[in-house]
Formats: sequence, structure tokens, C-alpha cells
Amino acid sequence: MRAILLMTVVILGCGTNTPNYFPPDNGPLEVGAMGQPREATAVVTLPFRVPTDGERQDLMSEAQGLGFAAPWLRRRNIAISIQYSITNLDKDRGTAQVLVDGANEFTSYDARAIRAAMLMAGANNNDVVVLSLIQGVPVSVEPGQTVSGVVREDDIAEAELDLDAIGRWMATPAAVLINASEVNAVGLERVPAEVVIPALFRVSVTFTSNKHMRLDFLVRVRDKKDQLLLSDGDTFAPMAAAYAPRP
Amino acid sequence: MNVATLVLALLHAQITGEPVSPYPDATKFARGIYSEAEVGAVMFVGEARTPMGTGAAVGARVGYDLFRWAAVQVHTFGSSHVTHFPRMPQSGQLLQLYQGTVELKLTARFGQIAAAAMGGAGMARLSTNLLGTAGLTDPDVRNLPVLLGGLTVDYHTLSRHFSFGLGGNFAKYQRLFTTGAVAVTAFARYTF
Repeated sequence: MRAILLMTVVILGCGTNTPNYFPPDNGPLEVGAMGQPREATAVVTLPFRVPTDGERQDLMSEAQGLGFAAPWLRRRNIAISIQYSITNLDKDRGTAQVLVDGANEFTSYDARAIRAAMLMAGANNNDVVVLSLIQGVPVSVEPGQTVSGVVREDDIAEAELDLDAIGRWMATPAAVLINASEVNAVGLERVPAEVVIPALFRVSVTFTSNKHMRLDFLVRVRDKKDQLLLSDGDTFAPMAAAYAPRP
Repeated sequence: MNVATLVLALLHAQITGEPVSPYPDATKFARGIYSEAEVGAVMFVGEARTPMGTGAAVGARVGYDLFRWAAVQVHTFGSSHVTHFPRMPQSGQLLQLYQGTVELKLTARFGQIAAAAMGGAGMARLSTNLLGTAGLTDPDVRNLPVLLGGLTVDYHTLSRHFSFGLGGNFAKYQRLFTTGAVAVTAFARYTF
């Protein structure tokens, strides 16, 4: 009987905190073929439920105590990672890179849109360097080869801190995006110690390559507080303000 | 008493003593409510064979012997798999399959050995929606009706309550686009 109880506990234990996977709506990203651009972006909006009236009240009380907004989606409750595979469809070796941007409920950050805005404002193309929230390392891929990788949960967690610092606490993007916060906290000086870091609800994956390649990816979410909307209901759709650098 | 008298006495004892049967008396085996714990492996067959591979499995049964030859049982079972989708980001993910079934078991006993056939139906649940992203189920399908049937061989220890055995079954999962899965397990049984 003890063995049965033990096995039941093991089985139930295996079922806790299991991930959900979200592929891009329009399938894999393919770039670099004849007539195709060398860069493509796919956006995955994660389906979270709206807070209940009670949860909304709790958030307001918490915000009053903190003195600033308390997010509904929190980094400590939602762990996000991205699984990807890059396949070289070309006859020649090429280099590919994965970049990640996104939005929390307060701020949206899109490096390509920021760059485009700066160019339209008259900046010199060579002078415009806008970093993504996560800059993947360029990888060399042989013809026909597939390379798999992961943007880990701790990478996304760092990006979530950086995005909040940029969006709400006026951090300079380059300062926080280049430095890992646990090594060098430069740029995070204005972030209050008691801040609750918001989680991403939208993930934007950009794929660049100098050859014809395909990126298959999945956004993997571990939802510790059952905030994902896995059935019918209203989806949480905050109006995140697009980040624009100060002139 | 002389030697002849002693020999006669011994011979008399041998003739009149009840011979002990060398075979177990199955009527003395415990019968009624029983529980089983099992460990083994699950291998998918068909389209999911490569993606799901072979996974370690544990399970438990609680049942009741209606007759010596028939029992009903509730069976919980879980297996864990590492996915393998060549060239796809779905590779290398952990996935668990849990199932609960109600089964009818028919047994034929041959001394300490019993052979049984069982079949049942129930529900299975996938721990994630990963298979839906790879086309092995429809998107976001997690609950799967399941039908299963199998055979077991059981060896009784003659200790009244305990027996051990090996079992195998084939499960067909509705809404999972594969032929099915084969489970092979070793089990220990305790009859109360």
C-alpha cells in the first residue's frame, strides 16, 4: 500500500508546473531565398487570462503600497524560454542569428521599429545601432545542416528586467542590454529595490541570415500561477506603450 | 522394544500418515481486494514511435476479485518520455503521459502460476500541448480517451498475500495520431 501511495505522489508530482508551447501563427520563418528579405520577424502573443475582480483589487492595493504600478504578469510567476532550430536550405554555408524583443504590460520594445524611426528622423544609417532585448550569438550553419538552440529562461528573465528598466525607470537601453545585471548593474540605478518585474506577454523573434535558411521555434511557458488562458475566455490585452528613445 | 518392533512401528506410521500434497492449495490464497504496483516501460508504435520513443513507466492497480477467475480493477499509469523530432524545436522536451482506466480481468490459475487477460477503457492526459505543435494531435489536445488490453503472468509465493508477475498491454489512444503504445511491466501484488 505504501508503494502505491509513493507512486501516486510521484505521478502527481510529475504533473506540476509543466510547460505550454506556443508556435508562431504563421509557421516557420524563412529568409534569404531568391527574392526574399534576409530578415523576418514573427510575433507570438501569449494568451493570459484577465485578472478577476478580486485579483484586480489586490493589484491596486499593492500598487498603492508600492507607490507605482504592480504588474498582473510577473517574472517570478511566468518562466519563458524559446526552443529553436535553424536549417540551412542553401547550397553554401551561411550565418544566422536569432534576436528577441517583446512587450510587457507597460512597455513594448521593438528594435527594428526603433531603428526605422531613427532613420526616418534623419539619423545616419551607419550611426544607428539599436540592440534587441536578446542578441543571439551568430551561428555558422553548413548546407543542409540543422542547428538547435534555446533562449533560456534566465536569458528571458534578464530581458524582462532590462525592458522594465528601460520602459518605466528611464534606463539607457545600451547600458542595461549589454550588461548582465548580476555582474554589472549599470543602468539599473533608478529601479526601486521593491520593484515587481513584469513578465513578457508578447515575444517577438527576428531571424536574420545571409543565406537561404529556415527558423522553426516554439515559445515555452511555465505558468506557476495558472494565468495562461487555456480555454475560452477573455485574453489579457494590455496597451503597452511603444518605447521610443529620447531625442 | 526390540528392533523388529521398532521397524514395524515406523512402517505403520508411514502407511497410515496423511501424505502432504506437493502442490499449492489455491483455495488458501488470499482473495478479495488487492493492490498492485508496477514498473516498466512504454513504447509507442506507429507515427509516434520516433518522436515519443520509449519511456519509463510506473503504475498502480486496486481491484476486487469477484470470483476466482474474474476481477475488476482501477488502474493508474504514468510514463515519461523525452521527445525526438529530427530538425524540429520540439526535440529534447520531457513529456509525461498519465492514464486512468477501469478494467476487467479474467484469470486462469495453474498452481502457483496464474495467467490473466484484461481489458478496459479510460482517459489519458498529456502533460503538455507539445504534440499538438508537431501535428501528432490537434492543437492543444491533452485529454485522450484510451482503450487497452493485455496479458499478465503471475507467480504466487505461497505466502498467502503476495505474488509477483510480468504484464504487457497495448493501448489505443483516441485523438493521438499514432497506432498505439505497448507497455511492459513487472508488478508486485498484495491481496488483503
